[in-house]
Amino acid sequence: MNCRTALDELTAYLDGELDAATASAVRGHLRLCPACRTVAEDHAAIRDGLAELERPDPAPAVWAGVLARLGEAEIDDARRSRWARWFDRVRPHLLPAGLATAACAAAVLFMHLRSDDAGGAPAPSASTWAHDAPQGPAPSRREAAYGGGQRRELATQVPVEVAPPPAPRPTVDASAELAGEVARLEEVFRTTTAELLPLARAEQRGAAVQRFDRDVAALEAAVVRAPAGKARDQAWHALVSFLERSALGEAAARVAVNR
Amino acid sequence: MATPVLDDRELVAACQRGERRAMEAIYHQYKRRVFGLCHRIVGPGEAEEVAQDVFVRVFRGLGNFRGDSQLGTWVYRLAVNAALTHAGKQRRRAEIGDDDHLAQVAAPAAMQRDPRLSDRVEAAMARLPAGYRAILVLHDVEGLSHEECAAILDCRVGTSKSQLHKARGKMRELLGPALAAERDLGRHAGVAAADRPAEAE
Amino acid sequence: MMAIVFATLAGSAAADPPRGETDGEVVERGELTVAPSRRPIRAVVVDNALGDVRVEGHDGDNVSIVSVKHAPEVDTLERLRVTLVTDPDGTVRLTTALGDGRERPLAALAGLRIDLTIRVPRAARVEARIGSGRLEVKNVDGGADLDAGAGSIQVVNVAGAVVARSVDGDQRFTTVFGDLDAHAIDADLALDTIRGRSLSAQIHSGSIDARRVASRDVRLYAIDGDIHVDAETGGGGGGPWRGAIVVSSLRGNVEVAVRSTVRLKVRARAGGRVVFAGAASRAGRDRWVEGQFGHAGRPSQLGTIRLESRYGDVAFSVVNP
Repeated sequence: MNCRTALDELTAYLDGELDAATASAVRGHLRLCPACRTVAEDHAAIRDGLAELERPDPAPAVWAGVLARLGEAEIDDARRSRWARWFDRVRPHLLPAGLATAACAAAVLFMHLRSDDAGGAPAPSASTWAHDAPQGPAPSRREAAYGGGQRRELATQVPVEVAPPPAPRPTVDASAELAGEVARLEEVFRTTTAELLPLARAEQRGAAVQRFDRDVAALEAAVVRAPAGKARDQAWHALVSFLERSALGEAAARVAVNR
Repeated sequence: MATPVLDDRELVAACQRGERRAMEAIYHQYKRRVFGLCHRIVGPGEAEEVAQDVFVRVFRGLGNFRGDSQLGTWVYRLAVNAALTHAGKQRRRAEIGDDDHLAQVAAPAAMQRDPRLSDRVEAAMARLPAGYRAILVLHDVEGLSHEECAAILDCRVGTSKSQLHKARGKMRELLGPALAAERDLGRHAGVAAADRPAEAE
Repeated sequence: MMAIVFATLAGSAAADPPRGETDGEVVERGELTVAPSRRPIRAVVVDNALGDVRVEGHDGDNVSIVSVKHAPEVDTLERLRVTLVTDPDGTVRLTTALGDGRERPLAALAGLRIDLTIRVPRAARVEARIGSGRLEVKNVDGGADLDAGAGSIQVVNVAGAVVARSVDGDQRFTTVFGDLDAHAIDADLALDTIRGRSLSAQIHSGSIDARRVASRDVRLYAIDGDIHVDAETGGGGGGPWRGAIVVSSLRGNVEVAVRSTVRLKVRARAGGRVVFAGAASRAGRDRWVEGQFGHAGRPSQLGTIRLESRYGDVAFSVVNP
């Protein structure tokens, strides 16, 4: 991978959107190329800086203002002619239905009426970007994105950390405290298992010992394999339950394993 | 359980009937997203006015909301459109000599006052073209996916991605020295973790 | 096509305001109803690590949800979410989540919770998981599969198979018509009026108190705790009973009373004393004490009872109903 390709993929890489092979190639290039690494660090810092921005709260007066303006608009509606209201109502259906002619005619007819810009979501037009493009001659994508970085001298040869793509946004257990509670419960399972294991094993005789060890190993593997959450909890319960029954000398313990 | 029960669709229906509490619920649900977006696209001075305008459009337009997109996406679309339209007017006003406005948008004072990168990021964003600000706010600040950004901006997913790429590049140009300082700081703090990228694989 | 509702359950046109603020706490109440589409709602799956879950069966065919969110301030409140997914197979899934709110890390969970009250069609099966709150299931006929970490589980008037697991949350079951399987690590289990084919309850540390148990196959185990059972051998249908009761505790006492007129064969051993119908027997860890009780029924309809306590006492008695 060369610099150009790596930099083209940089945003997608930092956002974790590349497939594993391409991401690995980008990472490899960043290891080799200090200039691109600098650009990547900067982009990561920008991404993180933006993510940390606060979401300001509007003043309570905004809601009052919304209500006041809605009230005014409704009073305006009341004053408008029946035809104008009718046109507003049918306008969304006329255009998609291809009745452009009717719409034009209607538009001419009611041109004198105050237009109501509150009707529905005007689709953001394709000109959104052009309309807000940077003033002056548009820089090429490469210049726009990496201009500064390409010109800078390499500051250092020390490999530096490029922040990995952000993890998917968590939806549950977002706080450390919740995670701490999960860890505490796991610890209860762990200590209970440790306490029961010698008791349960001492109950086994002859060939039953090996069978018991195999069963325990299978149940422990199930705990490790289970994704955190309900499945892991259930795997722990199965292990502890098996050990409890074994410690009590219950022949039925094997049933629990097979279940 | 004596009270009626509502999902988004029913909430919209309740708004159409003019039920104030449903409107208020929608307002509180979206106020920070809408205001945050306006704040960053049109600047702090006019954000409240534009946000107010957005909510008036939301409530006036709910009758035409067909529910074929998420309510949230639709509200974002209205907000982005209103903010971009307003930013366009600001730019035209600036072109005919409204220097105060430019100074306000660029917020250079804030850049000098606060050394935190996020404040510089905020100030740099204010100097970007409004379209770039929109994609940065939607994707990086609000954390929306490119699919959602594309739905809101009514463009292709690829366009959303390339705009984000360009916008971050532009931010890098504007933030040049601040980023270099940040890098130095990071280097001092992070040499020990030099090989961390490998762990992330 | 499954439908997803991000039920921020955003207030409503309810008589109460959607949000209230008292000293240091913001509370928001939301309500939502899910009507069945093509198929009836057969199962409700709830995962709420952030508070209580209360599920109650009703005679209607819809699911209604009331969420009450508590947070120290509005910012945090807005990060509490309830997501609802309805599957075409008739399953309704509810998950609560704490949005990551990148603008500000969450200081603490203190004062932060979502409580859900859900009414489900009586025939629905309930699957629910909580973290440390209260999990209550009432008046459903489709059985339940319940998980609580540190939270408590309460089941009242439920038919169908019930499975319950908790770590250190107590469990209480009242009137279960179906198989019951309960497991807890460090908790007390209380059972009252359990009538199914099998009852299995197991704890590591804590007590099991089972009353009016009429299941045909009863197995109760404890490592570190007493077990008290008050069983009935009516068999539910009035016919002769042929079942088994196995009660075993490693370090606790076992006390079993059976209301029965049928023949019972009882075996017991204990590290402490074995007391059969008020008469103490010479006991020992490896010495089984056996006895037969009752005269009704043929030998093939014999009920068997096995009681053990490695280090405690065992007491058994028969009570004429």
